[in-house]
Amino acid sequence: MHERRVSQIARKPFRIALTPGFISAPDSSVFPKLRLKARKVASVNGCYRLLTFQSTIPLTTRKRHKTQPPPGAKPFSSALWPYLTLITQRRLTRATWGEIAEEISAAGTPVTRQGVHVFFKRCKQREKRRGSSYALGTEPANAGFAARLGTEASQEEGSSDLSVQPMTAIDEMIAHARETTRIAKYPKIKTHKPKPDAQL
Amino acid sequence: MSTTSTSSRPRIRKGAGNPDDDGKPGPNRIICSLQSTGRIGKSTVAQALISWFGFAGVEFAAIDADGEHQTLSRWYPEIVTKLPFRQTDDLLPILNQTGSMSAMLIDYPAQSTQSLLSAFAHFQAFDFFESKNTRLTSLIFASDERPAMASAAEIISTFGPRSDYIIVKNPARFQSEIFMHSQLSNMLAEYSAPTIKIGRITRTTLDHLDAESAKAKKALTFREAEKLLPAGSVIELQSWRNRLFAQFEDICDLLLPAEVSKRVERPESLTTVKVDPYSL
Repeated sequence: MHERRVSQIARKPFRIALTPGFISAPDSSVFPKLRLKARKVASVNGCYRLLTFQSTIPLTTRKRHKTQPPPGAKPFSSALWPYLTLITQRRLTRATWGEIAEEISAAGTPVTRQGVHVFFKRCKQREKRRGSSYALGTEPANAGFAARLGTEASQEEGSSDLSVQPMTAIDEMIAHARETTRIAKYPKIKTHKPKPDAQL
Repeated sequence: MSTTSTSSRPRIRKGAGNPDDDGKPGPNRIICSLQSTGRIGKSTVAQALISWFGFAGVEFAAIDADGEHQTLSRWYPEIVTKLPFRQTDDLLPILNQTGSMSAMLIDYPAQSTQSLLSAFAHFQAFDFFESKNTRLTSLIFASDERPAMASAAEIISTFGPRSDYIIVKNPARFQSEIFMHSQLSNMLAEYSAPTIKIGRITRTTLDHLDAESAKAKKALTFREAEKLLPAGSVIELQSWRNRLFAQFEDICDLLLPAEVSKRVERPESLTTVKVDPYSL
């Protein structure tokens, strides 16, 4: 057994005998494949895969350094929270993720269709974990968003067309979302009227 | 002492929105420095201005746009609004509030001259100011450092007569000889820019101030620290403030829409005299 290596000094290929010392050296090209101790062998099948070099885990897997947020940083919060009701309603009217993403982007929060999908999925999963979730469109009549939609629908007389009916609600939601986003982003500038003989 | 000379300075400056002679109030003011150099006394001047507004009873708004150091908002957490300037959008809330108050003081961060100038250009800020009867007062720190001079030249060339200028000398922080003999001085003279000089505070007083701030676990303003400092330091700070207030009063048409009624007492200070012994 010989391995073809390149001399770091002469930059020329040369042959080198694969002695056990070379195999176990960390810079050896066969070293990762033989790090059996570092791997968990879950089953007999897993052991077989390892021995035959068919492991599903990448051989060069290393523990990566996780960057920490700076001290005093605010916790992450999705910019899509103000648009949650809008997403729900548009999904109920069978809008695609792409359409919803376009609508939200036009309202001032640039987002991709995957972004909307992942956010909405996470919300529903969270509700499910808390045990208060209903499948989309199956909320009872007295539950917040569905109830609101119901009353708005009853106020709209004679407009059976689904694509027309919820537009006012959507516009309201977009306006609300815009407003809340702006307030969160920029604080109101304080004006100071000094008292007589104020010592600032 | 002050080198301000209001008597020699023409009352009407170049540009629109100057105070009329018929007693009508002048334009509202936005006071800021956009210069690129740090540690030249921008926040100290802002502190002095806030202190003067408080003394004169003038309604004002103060904004700390320096998100990194937050010097001004640490001194006045209840008064100052934190509004860090990072991008063009961050000029919007300031524009939205323009014209609603007589004086707005903004402490911008260093190293942001270019982005600020482009933000002003993007929003056509000067046209907007004019429509809201507001005028910008730019503080130009007369530092000999090249970045300070370069950014001052950028500001003056961009704003031209649409802004008013005040030259600030701070001998404790920087030399001003080259600046005052450069083309910049002539440019500023064209716009009748007055000069104010920030007095020097001794190292001992500043050390006392730092120690008291550390004890109080808060960045103390000069006023707050006066109650805690030794008598000598208190006198020094009071005199420092009075000299600055007097200079602000001399140029108050560039800082406020109307004259202030309450004025600081101006005690005669000792002048040092040099005598040639051979002339005696």
